[in-house]
Amino acid sequence: MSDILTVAFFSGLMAACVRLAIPILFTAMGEAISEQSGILNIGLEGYMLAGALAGFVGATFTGGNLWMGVLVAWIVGGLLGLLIGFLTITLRADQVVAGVALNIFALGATNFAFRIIFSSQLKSPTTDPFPTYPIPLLADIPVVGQAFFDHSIFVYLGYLLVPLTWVLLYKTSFGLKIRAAGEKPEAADSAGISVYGVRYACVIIAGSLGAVGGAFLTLGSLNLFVENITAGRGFIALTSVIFGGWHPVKIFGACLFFGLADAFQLRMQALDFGIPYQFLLMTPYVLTLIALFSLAGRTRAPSAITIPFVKESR
Amino acid sequence: MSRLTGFLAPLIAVLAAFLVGAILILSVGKDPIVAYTALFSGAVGDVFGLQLKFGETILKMTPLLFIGLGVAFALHCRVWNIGAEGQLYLGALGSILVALQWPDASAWFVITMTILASFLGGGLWAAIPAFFKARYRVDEIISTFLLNFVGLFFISYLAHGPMRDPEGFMPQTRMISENAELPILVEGTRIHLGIAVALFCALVIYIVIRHTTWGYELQAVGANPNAARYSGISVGKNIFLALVVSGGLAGLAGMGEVQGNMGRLTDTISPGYGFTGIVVAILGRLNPIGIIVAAFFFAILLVGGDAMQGAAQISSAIIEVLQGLIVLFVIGSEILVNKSFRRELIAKLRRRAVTEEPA
Amino acid sequence: MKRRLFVVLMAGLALALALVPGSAVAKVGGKFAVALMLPGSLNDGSWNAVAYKAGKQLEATLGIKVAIQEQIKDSDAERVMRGYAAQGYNLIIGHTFNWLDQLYKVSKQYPKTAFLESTGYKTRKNFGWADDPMYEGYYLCGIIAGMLTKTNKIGGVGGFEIPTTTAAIEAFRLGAQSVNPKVKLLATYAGSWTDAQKGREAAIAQIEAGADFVMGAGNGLTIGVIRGVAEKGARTFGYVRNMSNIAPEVVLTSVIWDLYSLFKEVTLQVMHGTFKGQRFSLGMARGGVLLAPYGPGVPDNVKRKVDEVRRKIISGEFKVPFVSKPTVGGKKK
Repeated sequence: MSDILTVAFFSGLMAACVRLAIPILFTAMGEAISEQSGILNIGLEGYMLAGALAGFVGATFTGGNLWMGVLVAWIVGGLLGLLIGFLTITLRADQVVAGVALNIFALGATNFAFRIIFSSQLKSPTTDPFPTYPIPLLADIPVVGQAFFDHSIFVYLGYLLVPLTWVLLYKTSFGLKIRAAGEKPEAADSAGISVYGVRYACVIIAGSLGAVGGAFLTLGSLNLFVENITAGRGFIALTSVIFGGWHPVKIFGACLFFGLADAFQLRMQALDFGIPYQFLLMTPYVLTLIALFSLAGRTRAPSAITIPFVKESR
Repeated sequence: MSRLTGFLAPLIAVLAAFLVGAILILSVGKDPIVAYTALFSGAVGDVFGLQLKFGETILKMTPLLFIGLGVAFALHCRVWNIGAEGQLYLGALGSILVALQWPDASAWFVITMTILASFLGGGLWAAIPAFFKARYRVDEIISTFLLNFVGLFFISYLAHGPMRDPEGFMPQTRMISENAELPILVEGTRIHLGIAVALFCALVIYIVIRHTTWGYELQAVGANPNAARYSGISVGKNIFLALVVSGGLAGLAGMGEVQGNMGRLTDTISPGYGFTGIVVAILGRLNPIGIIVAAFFFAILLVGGDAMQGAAQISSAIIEVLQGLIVLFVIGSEILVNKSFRRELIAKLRRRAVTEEPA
Repeated sequence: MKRRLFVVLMAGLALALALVPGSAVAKVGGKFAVALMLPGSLNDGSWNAVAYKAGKQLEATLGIKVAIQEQIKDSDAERVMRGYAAQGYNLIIGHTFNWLDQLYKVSKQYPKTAFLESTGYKTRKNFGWADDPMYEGYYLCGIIAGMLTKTNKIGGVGGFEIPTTTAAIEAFRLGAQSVNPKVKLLATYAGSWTDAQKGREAAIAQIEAGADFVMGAGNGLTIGVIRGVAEKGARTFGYVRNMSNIAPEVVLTSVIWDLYSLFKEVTLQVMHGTFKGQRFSLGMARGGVLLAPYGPGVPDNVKRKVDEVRRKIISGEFKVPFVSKPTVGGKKK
């Protein structure tokens, strides 16, 4: 018991929390933007996987340039977002199934591409990790400093993404259009807003951000690629969006919450409290469910979500 | 013309997907003709000899059909059941508990009990998110989804611990005794009672949706909950029941897998049927007959895909890509389908009633 | 009306497909054929990849046909193995521990075909199983850790609480405690064989709890563990193959499972008609499991101790205990 009441424990715990939360954070921010415009995407696993591989390939083939990797991931994710947008906006296909299909496709496609590009080898290529930069002053705050402010720029970008998304959604005219498209697309359309255009933009951004989130795994954390490296994190990101009530700051909290639960459960196992490990593995999900049920009814999805918008001819 | 598009559109989509797949296969130096022949003959070849292949396709189709029916049923009420995977496992739990309880009873007794128990297991697991959705409007997409993990880990715990087979070595429950094995319907294959139960459920659902008040109420709630409430329909109750029945059907899928395929409860009895079932429901356009067809074709893809891998030595990655492409192309082709189908589907999913004829 | 037409056309299509000439059971012809069934990806860098390579090598050196299929799910295993048996394959290898029931059942129906599972516990005349001997290797790794640890805490990260995984982790503990009785083991089960980031975080969690040696037992999982160890400056060991290239400074050695020799021996037995359904123990004594060349920082006295114990294992003087129920972590006995 005395093991967990140390400063070192908390500091390590919170740092792990941040590491586990960041890939989900990027993806969740993107999905929040997309959902606020009315497009639900269950295929976040697909974006993340694609981004993980694309980023890794980008970095490996430019001699280890990690930022190139991020750029490649951004582009590939955007293209996938465009594809999903085309399917769900123009072709008005069902959004849930499009997402499931994207996941299946991306898993196969990334495995296929990985094998072709790196050919079946027993050695796994690696990249060097992003260097970490402790932020002066902030990193010296006891406990919290080490946990939050001694990471790589990638992580700091993640932090920055939260206020940026908030500003985008609530302080810009574009954000207004996004939310209008998600709440009352017919009214938005009569007001001259291009609902299709706005949704396309959002879905592409979601793809890009989702891919960058996946790239964090291969560029900022593990620095190598294994098949199915995302292992369900895309779904956690989706959960965070809803748990965070589609609001960037609350979503950030949700991502940290998930990261914390996961980091905590691993440490509980390491400290061997005799709890069967399956229950510890369950904790992030159970805690979210409890929180979800107790916040019952106080959050509401954008009204037009999952409903394809049909521009009425005049 | 529109009748034909209803059929042609998905067919062209599938062909287009196969074409792209063929390009991929060529790119790794394999022959697409060989591959695709292997796929179909591996799944439905030799039907009349009822060899392994066709029988295995039916076997694979069974859980997909159960879950497809379940997901579609809930969707009539605009309720998304993303928790079928977890409900399958909880249904399997109900099934194994009953089966292990009565190893010597008559087969009919045990199997009837397991059907009830598995329906109950899946239904109860769905009842949790159903309650919170009906009463507190908690979004069911996330709650059903999260419960998948909780359900799976719980079953894993049971199989590793309290229910572990004392004779065995592996973390799995004891094997069911012969009386609980689902009877084989066609000799020489592994086609079991499950498919008959599933088809029966399809029939029941068809009747319920089309010809009962309850079916009408479900659809009314799905189309426009406010209007439904004003006309005296209990929205909460319908939402609750829709999701619970959906869960029960997923539970039956679990029963089929435990008693017709694996013989035990382990934490790997489902390779994702809960999610593939959603695709089946949508491709089947929420209509029991369509779902039967969709489940059958998906089973062909899955079984044939394995055969393709074995016979043509193509990596499983290409098959996954092909499956994804097929779904993507087919749902993309939906817009070309007869407009009244589409309108019907949107009407089922929209909150507001459709008020205009398309131009 | 449209719906009915759709259904009729679909049914017609289905019937048409049904008439596709069944290459129903295409026999393999005269050549001796082995089917290798893998549960995971042949590209996973350990469990499946090593088997894949072994299979390919078998094909090349013995001149036989080896069909390798990957990503086979438990619920499909029975169908796949029956398919191979019906096609006349001579030997079917299920390279996992989850398919015992299926192999047992199918082997009954095809008495002329030989079946092998990688770990199991039941046999039949034509169905045998092979030990996963890696726990012997981990015992030796435990010795290394026990002698070099400064914190007296070592860790094991496994995928699931499967007997062979637990045995490896427990052997790690026993080996360490044999040279250093004060050593305490931390064990974590990540709930996945392939989630590399989980492996990394699990390793970091154990290191922050004081472990300075962490071993991983899982495919992608171990790769993640090694990355986590590399980041935190502890030390680790590779799984199934030499994994030192992932992080050369921290991988002291790897436990290598010589699947090729195992497969070759079984195949030759089947070819010569001497195959019996038995337990195949190709452990350290028979070269089935070995340690990779040492990484940096292993002092001579440690190497000598390892050699000494290794000799005892090979000669049979000492038998590494196979502990299948975890004493730490997981569900306690």
